[in-house]
Amino acid sequence: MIVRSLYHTMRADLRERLRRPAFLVVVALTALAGYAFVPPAGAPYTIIDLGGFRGVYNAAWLGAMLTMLLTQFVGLLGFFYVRGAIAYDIDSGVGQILGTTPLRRPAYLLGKWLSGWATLGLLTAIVALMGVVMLLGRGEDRTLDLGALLLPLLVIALPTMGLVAGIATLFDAVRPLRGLAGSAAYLVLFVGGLGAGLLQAADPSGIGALMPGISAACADIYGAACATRLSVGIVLYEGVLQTFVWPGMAWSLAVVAGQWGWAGLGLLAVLAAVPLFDGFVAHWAGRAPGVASAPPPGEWSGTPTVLPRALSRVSPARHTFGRVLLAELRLLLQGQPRWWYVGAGGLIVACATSPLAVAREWLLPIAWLWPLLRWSELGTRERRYGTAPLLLSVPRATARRLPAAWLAGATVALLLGIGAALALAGASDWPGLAGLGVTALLIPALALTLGVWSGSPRLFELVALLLWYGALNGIPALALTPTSAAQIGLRALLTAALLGLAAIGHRRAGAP
Amino acid sequence: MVTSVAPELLPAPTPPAAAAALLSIRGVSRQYRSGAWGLRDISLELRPGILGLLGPNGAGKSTLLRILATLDRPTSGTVRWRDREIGRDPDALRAVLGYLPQDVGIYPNLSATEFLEYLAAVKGLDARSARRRIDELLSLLNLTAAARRPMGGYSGGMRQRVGIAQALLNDPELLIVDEPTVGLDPEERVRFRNLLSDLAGERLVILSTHIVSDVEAIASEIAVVANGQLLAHTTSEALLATVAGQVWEWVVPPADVPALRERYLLSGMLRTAAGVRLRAVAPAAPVPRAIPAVPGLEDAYLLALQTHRKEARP
Repeated sequence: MIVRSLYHTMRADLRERLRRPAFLVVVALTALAGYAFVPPAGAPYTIIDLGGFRGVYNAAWLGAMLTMLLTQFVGLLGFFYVRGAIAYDIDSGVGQILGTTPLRRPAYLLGKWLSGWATLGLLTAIVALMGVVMLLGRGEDRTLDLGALLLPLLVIALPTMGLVAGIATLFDAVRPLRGLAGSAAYLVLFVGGLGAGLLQAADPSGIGALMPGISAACADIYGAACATRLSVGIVLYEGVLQTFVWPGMAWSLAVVAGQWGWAGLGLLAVLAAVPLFDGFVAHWAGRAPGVASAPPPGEWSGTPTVLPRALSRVSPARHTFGRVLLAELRLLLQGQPRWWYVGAGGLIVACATSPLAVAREWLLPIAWLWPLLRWSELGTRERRYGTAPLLLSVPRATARRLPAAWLAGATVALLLGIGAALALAGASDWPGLAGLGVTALLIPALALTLGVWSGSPRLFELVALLLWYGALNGIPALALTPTSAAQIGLRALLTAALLGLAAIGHRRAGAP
Repeated sequence: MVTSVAPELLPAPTPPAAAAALLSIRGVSRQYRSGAWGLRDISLELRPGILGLLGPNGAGKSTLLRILATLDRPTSGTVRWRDREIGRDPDALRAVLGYLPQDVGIYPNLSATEFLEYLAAVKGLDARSARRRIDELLSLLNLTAAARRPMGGYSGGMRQRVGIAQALLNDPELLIVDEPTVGLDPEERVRFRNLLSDLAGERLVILSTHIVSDVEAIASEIAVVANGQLLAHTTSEALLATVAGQVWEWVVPPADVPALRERYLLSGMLRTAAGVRLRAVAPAAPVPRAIPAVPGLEDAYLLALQTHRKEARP
């Protein structure tokens, strides 16, 4: 019974995932990445190199290279792609039905995990296919050694995908981790461990397992010139990387068992989620619409207090922008738990009273992380709450609402940034103040555009977290208070362009 | 009023009314990306009054209403409101449109008053007069007591009433309501029907439903849609005329019901002490003891659907 329900949960979830239009987009992007990640000699960028050296594009090198890229990129982005399966069931109402069936929680969660794993496994298969294509396409060594090409993917990438899917299921199952907290926690987890490429015997990125052999092959030819650490990622590079032949890896049982242990850890994560998952019945009971608070039955009976014919006339207004803005602000800020407002107030005060460097580099990023979930509703709220038909069937639907929604988001950014702004003004850092202002305009524009076009808050949450991480790590282009006129101007232009894109997307959502 | 109906269903078409149409739907078809047709060549000329749009689930009613509410566009054909094509100029209609979708959405953290104030602003209504109208609508719909509570705690019926209030906010000339009585209890349903009836006046109200009794009481015209096609557009009286003398009732033992269901178009069944009282639509008395019954709109509607299905069979 449990195996059967597990299998059907997995099958239904997988079918639902694969039939979404987004899956085709992800497949296309994965295939494109598979192509771009094997740059030709002389390309202006590198993907994997050891300080100016890379392996000849033979089956073994492509297999290893694509494996490391998969664990790095899909290991991070794949989490955000496969998570949300339980929330989807809740939002679609299917959870309400499942909660009343004999379906056991372990079967349900394991089914969701296997479906997520299978989805990432399909992406792994597409990467493998692209490996064959690129092997033949680049033509440095066209020997089609399928074992050498596929084994790294099967031994390293596939179990890592199981771990990623397992953590996604765990975070989905635990209510406090379903939202932004889970996204932030995974980012920290990934950056701190999963994707760090630690030189260990068996780390989920696979770098620890592959690196010794690769280093040795490079050192055989180029000696100490070879770097001891791999650079994995898109890095601008002028010149041509020198090549060496890496014949592949001798897979020992210990390596295979060590790597597949990560999939076992994924399974453990899912099993750990079972007692933490509060199920659907509790969820729906908590959301039951007003059984207790509804007025007594029959309240709408008897003679109406106002006859329809007595309804007063309404007249059109010249300007409604202020009222729409106020309502959008209300939608953004109303209904939050008390600690949210207290935290926001505390961050503003902390920014204003701390030394400028602390306020700018540490407190402002946290202050602007605080309302991230509120911003991620921009452009997606209508879909989430089913109000789109009401809001899109009004005159000048885009012109009336979109600027107000954006400005409401910007107002929240300015409110949360006001402490840092005071600190900047106190230090007469006017360019910094201008940079803060333009960034406050850019953030909601980004949220609105990504929300309108993706229809989901998750894309903005992911992008914002990545940008926030970059800002916190001091990447100049991502600074929250840029000071150069060029950067400020660029951000203003970007804001305008994003708003234009959002307007186009919003109009399309009306009557296609 | 223009009457269009399958020729065998009506004795004679009703002559067109003299007044100009408010809403003119001409040759509207909607094909989805999958290739399936949601609507095929729908034409209707509509004047003030209540149009009951009847059809089984999946007939294309909501597709048509979404097109009329400017939320979708036809693949071919035109929709004109007061002679302005709404595909080109949707705001001409939106300014006077009230739309209650099938699944009305609300924001759970806003109160009904705040939500209606928001929509009034978005609809471009003057703040003071909108405020007065909101109070009146909340009172009319008996939501005043709950008006300042977050809507997340509202019952399904209360949410539906908020939906009704928002549709009436701008004193619409065209009111489109899609399955409005879903979620309402019987008392609320009757009350909502009365409200629509009172509201009609010089407005055009399009009421889409698959519940015939919702339409029977208040609609001045009826359009029957099935498989994306318009089967009939006529008055209640003319539709009733199609089943005049064809509705029969008789009592049978319960065991006979399955076989009779295969042979006749049964429009009603009632268990009684003597057996099951059947109601059937048939050109002649099914059995000698069957007695003629007063035809109802449901009988006519079911006959129209059955006729269409027979014709559609290859």
